[in-house]
Amino acid sequence: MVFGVFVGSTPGLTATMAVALIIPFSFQLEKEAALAMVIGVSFTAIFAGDIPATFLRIPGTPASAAATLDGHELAKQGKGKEVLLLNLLCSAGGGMLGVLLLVLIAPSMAKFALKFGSFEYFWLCVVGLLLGVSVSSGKRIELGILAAVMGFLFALVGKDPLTNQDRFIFGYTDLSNGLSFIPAMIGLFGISEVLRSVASANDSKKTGISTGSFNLFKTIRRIVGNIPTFLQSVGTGTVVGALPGAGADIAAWGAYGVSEKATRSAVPEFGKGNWKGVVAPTSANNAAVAAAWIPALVFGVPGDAVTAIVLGAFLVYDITPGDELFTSGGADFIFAIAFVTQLILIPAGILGILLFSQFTKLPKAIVLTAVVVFSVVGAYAMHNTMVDVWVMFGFGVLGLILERQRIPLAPLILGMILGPKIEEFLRRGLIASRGDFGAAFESGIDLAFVSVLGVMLIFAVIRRFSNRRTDNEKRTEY
Amino acid sequence: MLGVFFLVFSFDITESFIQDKHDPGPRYLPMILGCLLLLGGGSSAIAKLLAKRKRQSLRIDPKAVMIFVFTALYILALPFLGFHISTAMFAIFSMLCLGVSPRTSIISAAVVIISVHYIFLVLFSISFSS
Repeated sequence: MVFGVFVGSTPGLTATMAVALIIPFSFQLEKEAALAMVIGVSFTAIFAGDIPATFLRIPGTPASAAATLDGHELAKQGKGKEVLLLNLLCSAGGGMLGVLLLVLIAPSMAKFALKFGSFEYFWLCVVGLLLGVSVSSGKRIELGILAAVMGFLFALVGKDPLTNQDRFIFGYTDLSNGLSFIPAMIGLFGISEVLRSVASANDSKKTGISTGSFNLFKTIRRIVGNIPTFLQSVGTGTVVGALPGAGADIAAWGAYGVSEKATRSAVPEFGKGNWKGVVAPTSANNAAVAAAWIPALVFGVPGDAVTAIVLGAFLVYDITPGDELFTSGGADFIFAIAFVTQLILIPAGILGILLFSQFTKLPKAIVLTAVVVFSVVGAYAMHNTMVDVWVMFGFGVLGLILERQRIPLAPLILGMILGPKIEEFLRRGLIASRGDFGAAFESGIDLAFVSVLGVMLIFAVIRRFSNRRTDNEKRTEY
Repeated sequence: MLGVFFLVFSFDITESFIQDKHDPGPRYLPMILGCLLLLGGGSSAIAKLLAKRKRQSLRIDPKAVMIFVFTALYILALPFLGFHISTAMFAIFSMLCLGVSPRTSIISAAVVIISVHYIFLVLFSISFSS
């Protein structure tokens, strides 16, 4: 688990990578210990990604990108450790509830997830994208949509997933696999932050981040005060996590969006240091990791890349998903490990926070330099190619330019994550329905998503007009 | 600019012979999104001009420019000088530029290099040219 914390908190090394790296070591152990090791790492790495996201605004894993918003804002106010303790407890709590839900509703949830066809996934991704955009853009939703379109276009670089045709690679074969999402994320959040910090630094002595201190009672009070957000986020994480291919990153953004929509007149606003904005994504991403086991254990269909790797390891240990796993008691053992992992996550996480917070106490010049070196090496580590490093650098510069224009960065990342899925599901759906887009409105699930979209659109229009009116009123007052 | 770029080059995307007749193909979405970005970016720029806001002076911090240049040179040098030498040069020059004393710069650069070496190169077997 310490390994999970370490890998998860290192930008460029994802939870998928952590699990992939630990599996060869696990083969040296007894079957039970090996399973515990692999499952433990998968949960821990997801939480650990929040540590650099909060302190340095560099998400350790894609599932932590939402934590760069409110978490980092609060860290700048000297509440870094407080935020991460809240993250840790919500992650562990979200994971525990996720496992309990896994035990209770695994078979029925998995059956529901299998009802999703291409168009249902298409609408899910569209709703997820617009929800994330509307939340992370604040009052200027049009700029958020612009950033999301930009991210979508960047995600189209490389081979077309259906026909294998090259797009925007200009004969440069290294780009055939597309612009990697992790280096882009490191650049957008990490490098741009370094350049901005250097530009705004009046003194080179401090990082500008005061880590603060742990306050267990205050944190517990905060959790109690945010129980509805916590439960709502765990629910969102579980539903999204159970859908094959959706993953913890979409769950985190989805929960953040739902939480923002459910909160009336949030003070401070979401994205500017609201505690609900900390609770929602972190509760959802670990719950999603647990929920990803639902289709994996019942049907052998992994919910995300991490579960896919662990499922591969299961086969090596002679564990076959399906009914027999539940009747033989094998599933109970896996549930027990997943539950206990959440408890051990707390001390392992605290250790990670304490170690990482020491890093931020170093002089700012040293931290910024180290961040650049780690970002470069982390980007390179993805595919051992310099192209990823240049992508990271390019996105760093782009991030700086966009922030100067007050264009939010988070929608760009969302566009990069969800864009290719939207295109693929739409085209697969059209092929399956013989070009009839009307089929995208036939099932009950489709209609539910379309209704949500309609409601979101109405709210966006109302909010835009009310903002304009408020602005005009303010202007007349002056 | 990005909108123009994507829109113009989306015409270069060729259709595939294995493409299903009901599949709109690989270039329809880049075209639509390129148009959207062009329209959105254009209207946003026009809106800014019409708002007649007091223009913010574009203050470029020399230190930020230096770090930007150092980072670009570092990435360029990596394949030629190898990880250790290029990282040492980048770290030392960057820290000196940011006002750290030469002694602290050298010690910190060494610590960063050793940490990265053990984490990435030894533990995770990531092969940088050295």
